[in-house]
Parts: sequence; structure tokens; C-alpha cells
Amino acid sequence: MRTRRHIGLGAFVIIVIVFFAVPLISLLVFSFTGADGPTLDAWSSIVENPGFYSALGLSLTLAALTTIASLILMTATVLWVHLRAMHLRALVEGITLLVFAIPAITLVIGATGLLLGLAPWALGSPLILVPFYVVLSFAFTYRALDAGVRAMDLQTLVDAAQSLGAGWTTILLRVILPNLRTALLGAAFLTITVVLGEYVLSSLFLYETLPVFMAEIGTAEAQGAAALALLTVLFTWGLLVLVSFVSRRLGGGRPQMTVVTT
Amino acid sequence: MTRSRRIPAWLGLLPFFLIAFGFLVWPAYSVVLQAFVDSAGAFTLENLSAIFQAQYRDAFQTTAALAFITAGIGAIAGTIMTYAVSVLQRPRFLKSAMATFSGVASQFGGVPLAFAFVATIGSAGLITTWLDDIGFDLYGTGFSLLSFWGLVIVYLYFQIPLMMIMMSPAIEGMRAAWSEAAENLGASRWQYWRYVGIPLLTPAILGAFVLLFANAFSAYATAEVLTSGTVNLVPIQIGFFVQGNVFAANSQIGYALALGMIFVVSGALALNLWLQRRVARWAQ
Repeated sequence: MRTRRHIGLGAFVIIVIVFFAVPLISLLVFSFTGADGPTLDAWSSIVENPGFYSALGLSLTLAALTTIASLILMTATVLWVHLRAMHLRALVEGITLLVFAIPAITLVIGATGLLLGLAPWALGSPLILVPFYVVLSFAFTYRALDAGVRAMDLQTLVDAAQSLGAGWTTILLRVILPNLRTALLGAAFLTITVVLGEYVLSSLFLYETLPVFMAEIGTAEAQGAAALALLTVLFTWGLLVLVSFVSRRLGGGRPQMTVVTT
Repeated sequence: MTRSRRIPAWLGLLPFFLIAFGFLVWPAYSVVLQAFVDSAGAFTLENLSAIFQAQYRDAFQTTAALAFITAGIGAIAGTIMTYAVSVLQRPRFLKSAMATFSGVASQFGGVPLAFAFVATIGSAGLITTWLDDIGFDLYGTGFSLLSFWGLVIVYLYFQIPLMMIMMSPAIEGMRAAWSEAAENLGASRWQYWRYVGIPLLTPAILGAFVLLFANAFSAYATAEVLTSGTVNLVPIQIGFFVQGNVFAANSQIGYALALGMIFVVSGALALNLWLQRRVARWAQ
């Protein structure tokens, strides 16, 4: 009885796993497929395309800047909330969740109108994307860091350090941040994936980030776009494995790395 | 006491509030404002009434249908998957593998996802050619990846893992004692699910369902790259307004569409919060 029931479930699991595996396998095979048999054409055309390097450079630059800005802003915010402004915690968390109520495309139309009216020069540099990306990753960074702070006894640590004569710089650098390492790592990972995958803002603000470049070459050569898509997926997974590995070595448990927020 | 005590509590949060205001709240507020004025800045309800024109009404209906269908299938498949993973004992690695996988797959969206499906069931995709070789013409049946039902398949790729992530706490929380108690009282498997399991899981499933709905309703990148407008969706229509690709006399309609979208999505999120409170009641 029990096993018969599980055969149905097992079959269902296999079907779903196939559904998830086939597109990934297809990406791999398709990127090596030419008009007459296997070929490296798609990969070599990517490698030889100067647009690829500039798009990659732009995406990585934006990812680095956003991650730095976001970690500084959100670490300061979360620590301040826990140490000084617990009564504002619900408000801060509510604001970070607001991102989900305002779809990126509506943010774009509102922001474009404002920027064109008030500061059209700001649209002239891709750096304008950074504060928007900081906002888009709010919910992820906040939750990862908040979980990290809750996992340690912040107030006690601060009191203990102060009673031993430590100043705020020492407390921050030698007590708090070392305890937040895995949370910071998880937050950084989420921010990087948000930025590297972001298409709505960069395409409509007309900046050629990696996803925009991918979409562009995809119209003419789908194989090249498939190669790039595969690279993106492998890079993200590699990063995920690295982050999990490093945080296990740090012994801080598994950082929060899923996108779900409620 | 210490020096920092003199700084008012809200001041330390000022950078956060300023960024949130400047790059999130203000643009959203601008959408609301612009939806109610004409291009000269005078108050009007014409933009909002324009979204009831056939073209835009159709966009809202199509987007809602896409979101509803993918959220529905995603919710059912994701729940069964989560349940299956929790009861299947073998293979041993299944549980941790699926947990990692659903985290990773739910991150796999946007442009790369679109091309993964082009490579699979696009007109020259792997499965399409393979089916052709065994004598089945997929595109001959009228199917196309670049259509409504094509998008349904693609969206399921992120909806199902998202459902699994959201449902696993609720499913893990179902106690074996409940099903044993039902069995001892002579309930069949079906009766257990009909009268105990499903009713208990319903608020959690519904809460996750509306979140999936909001998620699919907001999605832009995948649909834009795949269909470039052949499927009439609200986010794509708003994109046309941003690009200036509209021949409408009234360019303010874009704001009205965006307002409608914010209304639908935040309504779904509010419903989710309400349902979550109901989940919390018995989960303790």
C-alpha cells in the first residue's frame, strides 16, 4: 500500500526533474550545434565579439559597486535598527518589502519621467543604475543581515566589549563584523545575482549590460545567446557553491540565499 | 551616557530612508501622480479610462490569465513536489538536492531562461528537432514558444521552485501524528487529505499562490525577449511607452497602466500578508 502510493509520487518527481533538467542540457548541446553538425562557432563568435567584453565589464562593475554600496548601507541600517531604533524595525522592513509591490517596469516609467524632467544628465551614465540596484536588492540584503544580527546576541556583545574598554571602531571591526561574515556573504551573493541578471532597467535606460547584450545577439544567433546563458548559469552556480563552501568553513551556518521574502 | 546616545534614533536611518525615498517611493508616487494628469499637468481621468480601451483591457486580461494559470499549475505541482520530497526516503540525497536546486532554479530567470527554452522548444530547439526526427511536427500542431502557452511553460520553470521554497515550512510542519491519528480513527488516505491535510494547508497554499500570481504579473524580461510584444502583456505595453514606441496621442496612458499594475500586484501582496496571519495561527 505504502510503496504503491509512493510509485506515483516518485514518477511525478521524475517528470518534474526532467522538466528542469532538459532546458539546461539543451542550452549546452544547442550552443555547440551548427547548421551541419557540432561546431564551436557560437562560442568563438562570442569570444571574438568586443561587445561581449564591454558588456561583461559593465555588468561586473555595476555588480561590484552595488554590492559595496548595498552592504555598507544595509549593514549600518540593520545594526542601527537593532541597537538604537527597534521601534522603527517594522517600518524599515516594510520599506524593504515595498520593492515587491512596485514591479521594476513601473519603477522604470516613474523614474524615467522624473529623471528626464529633473536631471537628464543622470541618464547619461550607467552609474545611475547603482542606486536603483541597491533598492532592488533591499529585501534580500536586509533579510540576510537581519537574520545574521538576530543569530548573535548583539546588545550583550556590545556591552561586553564596551565594559572592556573598546571603542565603537574596535567593536564594529573586531566584534560585530566577524560575527556577521556569513550573513554578509549571503547578502553579497544575492546582490550580485540581482545585478548580473537585471534586464528591465538596464535595457530601458539603454545600457548594454550582459543580459541586454545576450538578448541583442539572440535575435540574430540564438546559439551564441545560448552559450552566454549557459555561462551565466554556470557562473551563478559556481558562486553559490563557493559561498556555501566558504560559509561552512567560517562555521556560521548556511547564509540565507533564497529569493523568497515572505 | 555614551556619545552616540545623543544622536536621535531616526538620524542613523537617514541614508536608508533617503535612498528608499529617492529611488523607490518617489518614482512610484510619480506614477500615481502622472496617471491623473494630462501632458500639460492638468487633472484628468482620461488616462485611467483609456486603460479600458480594447487593447489595454486585453493586455490586463492576458497578463492576469498568464499569471493565474502559471500560479495555479505552479502551486499544485510545487506542493506535490514538496510533499513528495518530504515523504520519499530514497534516494537519500533527494531532500537536500531538491532544497539546493529549488533555491538555484528560482534564481534562473530573465534573459538566460528565455534562451534556455529557445534551445529546447524553440523552432530549432533540441526537443523540437528530436520530435521532428521521430515524425512529430511540434510547430505543425500550432504550438509556438513565442505564444501565450509557450510563456506558460517557461514561467513554470521559476514558479514551481518558488512554490517549493515557500511550501516547505508548511509541509515540514505537518505532523506525522495527524495522519496516524486519522488512520487510527479509520480514515482512508483520501479522507485524511480531504478533511485534514488539504484544509490545513489551504491558507499556506493560497498565500503562496497569490505571491506566484504577483510574481508572474510583474515579470518583464523573459516575455520581452521571447515574444517582443506578440503576446499582449501589461509590462510589455508599459515598456513601449518608456521606449517611446507608441503612436498613442496620449503618452500619459503608460502611467495609468503602471498604476493599474501596482494596484494588482500590491493587492495580491496584501492578500498574502492576510493569509500568512491565518497560517501563523495554527503553525505554532
